[in-house]
Amino acid sequence: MRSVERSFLPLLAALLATPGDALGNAGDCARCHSEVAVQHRNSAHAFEDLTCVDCHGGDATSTDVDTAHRGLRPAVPRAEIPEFCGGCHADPVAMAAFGLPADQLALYQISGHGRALAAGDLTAAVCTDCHGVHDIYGVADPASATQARNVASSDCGQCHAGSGAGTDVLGDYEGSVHHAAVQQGDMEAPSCVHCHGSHGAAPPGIGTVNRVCGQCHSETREAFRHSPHSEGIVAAGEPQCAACHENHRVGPATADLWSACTDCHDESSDAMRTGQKILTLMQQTEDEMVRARQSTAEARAVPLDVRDYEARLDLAASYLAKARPRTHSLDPESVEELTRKARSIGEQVQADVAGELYVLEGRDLVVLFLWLYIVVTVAALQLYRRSLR
Amino acid sequence: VAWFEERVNLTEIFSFITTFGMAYGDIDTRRPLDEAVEDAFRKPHPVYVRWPHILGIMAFVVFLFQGVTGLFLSFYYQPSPDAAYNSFLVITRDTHLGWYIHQMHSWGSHILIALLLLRLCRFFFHRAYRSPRELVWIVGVLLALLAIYEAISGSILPWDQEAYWSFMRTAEAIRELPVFGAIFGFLVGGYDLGPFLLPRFYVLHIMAVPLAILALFYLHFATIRRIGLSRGDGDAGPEYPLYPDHILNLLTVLVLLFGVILTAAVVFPSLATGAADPYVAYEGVLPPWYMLPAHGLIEVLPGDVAGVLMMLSFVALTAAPFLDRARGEGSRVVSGSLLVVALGLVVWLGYVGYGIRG
Repeated sequence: MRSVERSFLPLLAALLATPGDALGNAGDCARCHSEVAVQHRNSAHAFEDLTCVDCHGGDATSTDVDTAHRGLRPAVPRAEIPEFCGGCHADPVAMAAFGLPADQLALYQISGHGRALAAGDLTAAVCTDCHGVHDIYGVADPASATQARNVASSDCGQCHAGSGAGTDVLGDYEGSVHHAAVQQGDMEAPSCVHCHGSHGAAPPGIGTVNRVCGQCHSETREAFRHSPHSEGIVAAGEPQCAACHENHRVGPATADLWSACTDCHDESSDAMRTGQKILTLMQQTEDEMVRARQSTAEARAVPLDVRDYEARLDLAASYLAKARPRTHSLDPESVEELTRKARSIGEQVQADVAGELYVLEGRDLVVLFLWLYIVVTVAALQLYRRSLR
Repeated sequence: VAWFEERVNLTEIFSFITTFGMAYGDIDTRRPLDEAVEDAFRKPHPVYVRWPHILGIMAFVVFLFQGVTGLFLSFYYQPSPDAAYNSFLVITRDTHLGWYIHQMHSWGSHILIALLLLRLCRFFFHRAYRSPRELVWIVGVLLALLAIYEAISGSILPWDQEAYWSFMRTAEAIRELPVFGAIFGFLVGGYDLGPFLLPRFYVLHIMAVPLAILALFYLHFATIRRIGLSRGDGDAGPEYPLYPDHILNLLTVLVLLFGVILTAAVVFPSLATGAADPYVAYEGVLPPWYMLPAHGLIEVLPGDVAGVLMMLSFVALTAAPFLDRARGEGSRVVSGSLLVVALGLVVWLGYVGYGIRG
């Protein structure tokens, strides 16, 4: 019996100890503040051994309410939150071990959010609005509100969404190709912070939009800067790239986009004729590429060896891909230099495939001759059989 | 011949060869070859050479043809998921006339199954399964099943999208069978088509099952040698010698049959659909035509009920000689009506199965 007790009691102790352990490193705080402890348990702070006491003070080893709460810091006022977090996050020495930058507080203070807070606007976003309080996760963690897929809806969209025209920034962004790419797992595609910055969040000015977009669309920017639009659009008070492509609701760059030209240009103007010429060049080339791809798919099913054709079409596709940003130069000759190459490859591939398929049609002809042979053989066999009888 | 005849009993070899069809009678191995051949050629045969009594020998010749074309394909084929599709491309694209051998092998499999199934219908209609021909019938049923298995195991080998997804459809139906489903599941090795599926199916496809089919054909011909050819109900008819009537008629039919296979192979070739990708479904894919009625049944009834029903049908079909207790010659009205009803049901289920294309 005693031995049973000896083995049972440690087990009971272990079971009783389980809730505290399951709540991470919150220590005895978890006995009363279990809900907060659960939030804290899987956070990036808990992972790095940051305990309740590190932020709140007090004594996590005591179960006596008075002792545990001795030296407890009061809740941080909203206006002081950036400075409070900056206590660690603005310390380059402390942050070096985690590979984290220490300039977030400085950036925040010059951001639209930081300046509004400094001006006394307590509705301006502070650290905890985006990062959470106890449930703070790393930026790459899918559970994190700051992760690329979540940042628009969970962070910025909390405030920057509305029902009026032009005010529903979140709704506009969610209708964009950028959002679609992010949701499909392209973490390089832009969410809010790629264009506006995160801690130093600020809207780009009219004259700087091409720099923001050009961070990714560098070839397009290069072509745009040498085009008549480069200065003309700014002079007209339009926000450069966003004038045609929208700012948040960036749609697919299809031929439909060319209808935006009439917003500024007269239908019979030279500018429209130039645009129409570029549009025709691009559409003809794209159609040619589609036809060439269809013909190689047909040949692949036979099966014919289409690796050479596919390599040539890949080259043509790269010319077409280069031509697309070059349309922003508004120089038809420069665009045609590339589309001509792509189109001629597409035409040549179609002609080559058609030649190979034509040779294959000869097989059907062979079958016709073969049936002639079969009929003759059958007749001969039957005649021979009758002659033997 | 004389030189060989002094050293080898050629008549014994001739006797062995004719064991697989052609000459239905004993051959006296003590006599010289020319006499034995002449004797065998003169032997009168019933008019079975005429339609529809030639289905069996046609099936056997197509089976041999499948063996020859399959041998050529095996020279280049590599049974592993990484290499299978490329080796299939090497055969059908890069090897001279490889496409042609492959298409004929593929169409040959369909025609073999069609011939064996038609032959079963013929047997059923003529009630040719009655004593002492029970074994001929049972062997016929088994041959049809094995030929279908050969076609299924062969269809997955190209490892292209259509082969892969069509096989998945086929497997859906077979898994519902009570006993065969478990055996098939064991052969496939689960619900996924794993890396060892191809070598397993390949070895069965080119060695084990063809040998079993050959053994069944041998058993069939050995049975015929013992009990003689079926002459139909009271159909005495004129009898013709093996040569020239039988052999030249058979040659005529075979020439026409190969014309059909060849034409189908050239005019209706199966297309390459890209390497099999388990993560990209191939839309609109159907199981092979001989699996469509089974698919129709699992569409109409719950899977396990359909499986049990299919299994019972197989058992009843195999046991037909023992279930048909009608005495005497009986009437073909009953067997004919049963056949029409069964075929109507199969065609309807096949149509329902075709509907899964969506």
